Amino acid sequence: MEQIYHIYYTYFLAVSRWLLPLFGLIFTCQWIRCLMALRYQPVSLGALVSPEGKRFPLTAHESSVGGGSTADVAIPSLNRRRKCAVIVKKDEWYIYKTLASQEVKLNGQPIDRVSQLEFGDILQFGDTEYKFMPPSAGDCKQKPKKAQKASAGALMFWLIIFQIVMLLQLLLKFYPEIPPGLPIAFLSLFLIELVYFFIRKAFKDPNILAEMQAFFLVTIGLGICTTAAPATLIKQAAAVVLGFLGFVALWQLLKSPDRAMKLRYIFGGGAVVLLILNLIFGKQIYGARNWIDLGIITFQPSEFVKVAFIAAGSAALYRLLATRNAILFMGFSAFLLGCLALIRDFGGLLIFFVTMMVIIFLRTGDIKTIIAISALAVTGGVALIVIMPHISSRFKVWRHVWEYANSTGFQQTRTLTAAASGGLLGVGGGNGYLDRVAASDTDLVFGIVCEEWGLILGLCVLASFILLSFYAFKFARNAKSAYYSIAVCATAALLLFQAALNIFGSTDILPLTGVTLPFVSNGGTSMVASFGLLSFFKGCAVNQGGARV
Amino acid sequence: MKQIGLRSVVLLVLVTFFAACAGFFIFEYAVFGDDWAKFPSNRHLYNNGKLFKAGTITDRNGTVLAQTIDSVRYFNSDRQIRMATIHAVGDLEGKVSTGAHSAFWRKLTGYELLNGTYNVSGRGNDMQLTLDANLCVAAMKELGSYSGAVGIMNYKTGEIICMVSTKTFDPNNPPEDSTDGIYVNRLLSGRYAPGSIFKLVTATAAIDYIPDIFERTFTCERGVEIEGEWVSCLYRHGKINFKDALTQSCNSVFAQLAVELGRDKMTKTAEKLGFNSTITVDGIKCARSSYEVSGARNIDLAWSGMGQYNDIVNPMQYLRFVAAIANGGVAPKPTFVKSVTTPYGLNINFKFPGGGERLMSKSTANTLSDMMRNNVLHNYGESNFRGLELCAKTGTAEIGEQRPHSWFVGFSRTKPYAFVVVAENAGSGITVAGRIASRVLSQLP
Repeated sequence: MEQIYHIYYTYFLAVSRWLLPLFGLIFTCQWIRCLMALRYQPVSLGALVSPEGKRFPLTAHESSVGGGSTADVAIPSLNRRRKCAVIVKKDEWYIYKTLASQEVKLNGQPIDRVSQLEFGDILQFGDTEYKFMPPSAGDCKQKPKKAQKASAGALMFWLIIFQIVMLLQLLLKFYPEIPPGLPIAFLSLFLIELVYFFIRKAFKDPNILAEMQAFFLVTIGLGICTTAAPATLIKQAAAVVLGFLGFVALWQLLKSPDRAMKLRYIFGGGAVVLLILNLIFGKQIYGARNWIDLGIITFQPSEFVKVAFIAAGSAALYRLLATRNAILFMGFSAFLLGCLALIRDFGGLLIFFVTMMVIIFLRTGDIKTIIAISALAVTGGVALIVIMPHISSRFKVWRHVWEYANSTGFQQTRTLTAAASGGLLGVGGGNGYLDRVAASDTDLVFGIVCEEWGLILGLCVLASFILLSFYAFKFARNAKSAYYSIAVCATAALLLFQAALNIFGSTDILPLTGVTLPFVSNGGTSMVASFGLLSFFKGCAVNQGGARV
Repeated sequence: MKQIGLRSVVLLVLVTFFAACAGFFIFEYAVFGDDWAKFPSNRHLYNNGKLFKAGTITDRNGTVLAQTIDSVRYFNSDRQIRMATIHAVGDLEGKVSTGAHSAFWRKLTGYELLNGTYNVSGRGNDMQLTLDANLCVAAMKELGSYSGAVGIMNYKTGEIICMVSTKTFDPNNPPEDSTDGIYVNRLLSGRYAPGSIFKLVTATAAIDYIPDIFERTFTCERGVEIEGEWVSCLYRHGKINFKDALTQSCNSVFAQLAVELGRDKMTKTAEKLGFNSTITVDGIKCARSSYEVSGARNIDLAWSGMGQYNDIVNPMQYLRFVAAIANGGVAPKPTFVKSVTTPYGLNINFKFPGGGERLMSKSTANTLSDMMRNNVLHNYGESNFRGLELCAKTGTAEIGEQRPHSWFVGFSRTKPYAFVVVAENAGSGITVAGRIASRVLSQLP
């Protein structure tokens, strides 16, 4: 009986190792088509009308008013350097005064900080008066509609087919000793994604692309978990379910920009508390002291801090223009970075640093600050490398892994060997040897993907993170609040950079830092936190301004 | 919001960084991928650092030289065969880097970019070598305790039927210490002072550049004076012509010829014959033969014309040169792989016809051939090489205070084989290398 299964397996493997990369590629291509098919056109929400009768349409929910070309409402007579007000559309209209010296008057009265606005009001910027008027048909030129056919249904179809083939291959491979977690994990993933798909379809949600990409990565992660650590499959499946629920909850929580703005302080406080707890109760596993053991479960607080950091660091436009700089945020960041340095989480430190820089740049656009901080960081980084022995040894081996093949270059050389052994199509799930290397299911997952599932799927994983960045880039500019724009860009940057550290660290393109690959690496905290980050994508996607064409 | 949209370009900067890393990885994967897979810790192919996933290696007669049974690799059960062919077959840990297991690793394991180490049958490709294991054993026995090499190549097809290097070792009982260069295939990687066999090069230059060379008469006074310095010869040959000079291996004549031809013509000829460049055997790079006289005085040039000074010869390169003389001036493309067969019976060892290279004109080759035939008839003794119509040249390379290297090179006119024999620190060319050649060639198929 077993022999017959073995023959089935041999044939199924010979075919399915071609099918999986093929389906992976089709999924990726279909995803790109779907992204390109999602288009939004600006719609006029209101307008400022000058005394001469010139209309300045407001197309964004948060519109800055100023003199330069970077202002949403560019009024030539104003100071070019500073925006003097932000007009915000919530349920009602509001106008916020910024730090600019020019006075803004509403119906002749100076605005203190914020004031409600109604159509017909007179706004005075400097010495010119504008009338705030309802939108008119001629405000925005409507581009002709282009017929775009790319359905999320097809995307879902290819994902399911991909998952079924992978599951069958793994079942046949391990028969008759199938890990009980294997069917459970895949079935719960099927359940989540199908239920979610149909619910969003009922809600007529046109954009579930980020979620689909996450499901794709999770599938590959489960495949790796099956071969590298089958005993943890159920735990991992639970993390996926939990993470997904967290994703939905956080996205609902951040649904209104006003609430998101208020929750910033809670998230910020939460991040500080988590890291302080980590400092006090932290346990050291593989160099860094970033684990907390609660008896039943252990978790990495720094993973959740990533979510809190972005939720606390993003802000709406009126807020950004009402402060001269990001000093409070920088102080907050410096505290977090300090904590991470103390718990010796070098990889986490780098990720937070890059995310912080992206947030600062998005908030202030101040290149001088960025350069200053970078210079400081390089100095600090060199000091860190000198002080911390386990970091300096990692730098020494970088680009010389074959000289230290059986010592500090052990993981990287095994990863490269495994990746090359898989070829473009892979040797089949469970047939690799990299899973026997310590921490391979977290730090070296890219090697396992290439070895067992082939370089083509490895490149699909790489593409996932690039595509999520394009997603963020596309939807950030059209969000209803700068909060969502900043959050989605920061998240994309964080995921991209973390993926780079993981993938290119294990393949010796960058120094090995031992961070996880979001959605793929085995590990509950990382999975839950990755889904938490996903809610910033969703938040941005559901809060799009303009009209979909 | 416009401003935030503009600032989100920072993401594209990160994407560029990411894509650059990805591109670099793909580049490295494409270029170094097989080196990564060839790592002895790769358990797809190696078991405790020893290669196991490879097809069967046989000699030209089907004798199994190495095969894998149940994930363990076995060599031939006969110790003599193992030791005589180990440099061609190669050990399992890649110590013999020019052996088939190492040099033809891709072909044997079936590794390629698309499938990696995977293949449906779970085994690699079979390889048949052109070697004759029994002839290799004979050559190894005749080399005896000497370090050295014997190479025999079909000068029409380039197939090497005998490739032996000593000191050798038994792969089933590898020695603890690896002194004496046991892992070096001296035929492919050896570099030796050539001694008088180099006179064939000087003779080639003389035939090509001196039109009346065969009408000339030279004088040997047990040596000759070159610009006030003395080049000695073994005998006082007196008045001697060019043809007899090669037969008697007269130093005086070749010293004068080298000086007369000059640096440029000597170098040009040597380089045409394969000196100062690397030849390959099935993609394996051989050590370079070198002829370097750019800074030489005339006395040095004189010594260089008879294989002393700083002349260096790689036995394989010289075998190819001698084969070209036998083959009307065209050197065949040397090879020791006859076929590579996939588990489905498909031969994937593609050979392109016409891989030979002309080293000299046909008439020069024939003239040299006749002169080498004359050497055997009038000096080395036809009775030692019965039935072979042998054409040959000896060499006794002086190397300081040590005993000289003993060389014997040539080819048969009745069977299409050229050969090279070199025995390190063994004595005179004819007494050691000549005797080894005589006994090995008598067993030619």
